[in-house]
Amino acid sequence: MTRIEDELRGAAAELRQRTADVDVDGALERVLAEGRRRPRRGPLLAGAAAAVVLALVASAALWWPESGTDLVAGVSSWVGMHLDYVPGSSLPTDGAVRTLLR
Amino acid sequence: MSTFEQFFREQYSSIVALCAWLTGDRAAGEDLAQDAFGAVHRRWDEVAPLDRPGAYARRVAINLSSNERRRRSRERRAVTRLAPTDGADPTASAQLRAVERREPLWAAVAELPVQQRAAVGLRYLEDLSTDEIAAVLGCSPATVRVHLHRAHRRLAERLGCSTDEDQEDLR
Repeated sequence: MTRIEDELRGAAAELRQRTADVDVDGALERVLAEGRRRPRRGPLLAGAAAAVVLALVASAALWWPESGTDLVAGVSSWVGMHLDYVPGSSLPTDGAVRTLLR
Repeated sequence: MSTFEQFFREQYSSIVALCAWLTGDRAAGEDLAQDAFGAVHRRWDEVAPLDRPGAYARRVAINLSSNERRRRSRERRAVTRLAPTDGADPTASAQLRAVERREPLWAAVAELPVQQRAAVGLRYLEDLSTDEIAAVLGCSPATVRVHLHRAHRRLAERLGCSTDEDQEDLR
């Protein structure tokens, strides 16, 4: 009977062969061009700007809660509707605040 | 500490292969790898000093691959899954036969949970040790062993194969 480990080794070898001819220079140029279109911001400035925008939008969108439970529900709902996490945008050691401010 | 360009040239091909493994599609794998390198490039000042920037780039790619949009795109591209891109290539028919022979395996790999699929890809494509896979996935080596064991078991059952553990039990 065939061993699954041997099947996986064979499939991996074929895939390595089939992806060996990738256009590295073209891909590098595309990544660098994308970076030029989206210039990096200083983290402090980016954080401060994002915090101001977040505070303004949130204060406009949230109603004045009657209880702490309503506040939690309101904030949770607002975040769920307005914010989206982009995978890879934070480092493993980043906390929630640092992640949100990027 | 290398420059981003050096890092890209050293790592790109192997990360494309990993992304193709994760998505089941070479074109989607290239898109995914470029998105992952884009994320790394934006944070290069913070990523470059890490002990293993390559592990970070792989983790970004794995996280991106689990994105719902990516999954839908992969389903749309299922027809062209890992098929040769150039019909004029003299080795194309041999490649196609190889792809067709592996089709049940790719289908079974695609159904694995992303962490198991990634662990198996890192082990067989990149020949990484359990500790190295743990560094990429951000989990313990024990968890990696569980991912690999479950993936082997699931794939073997699906494809009617045995595992190395089965063979050892028979001795």
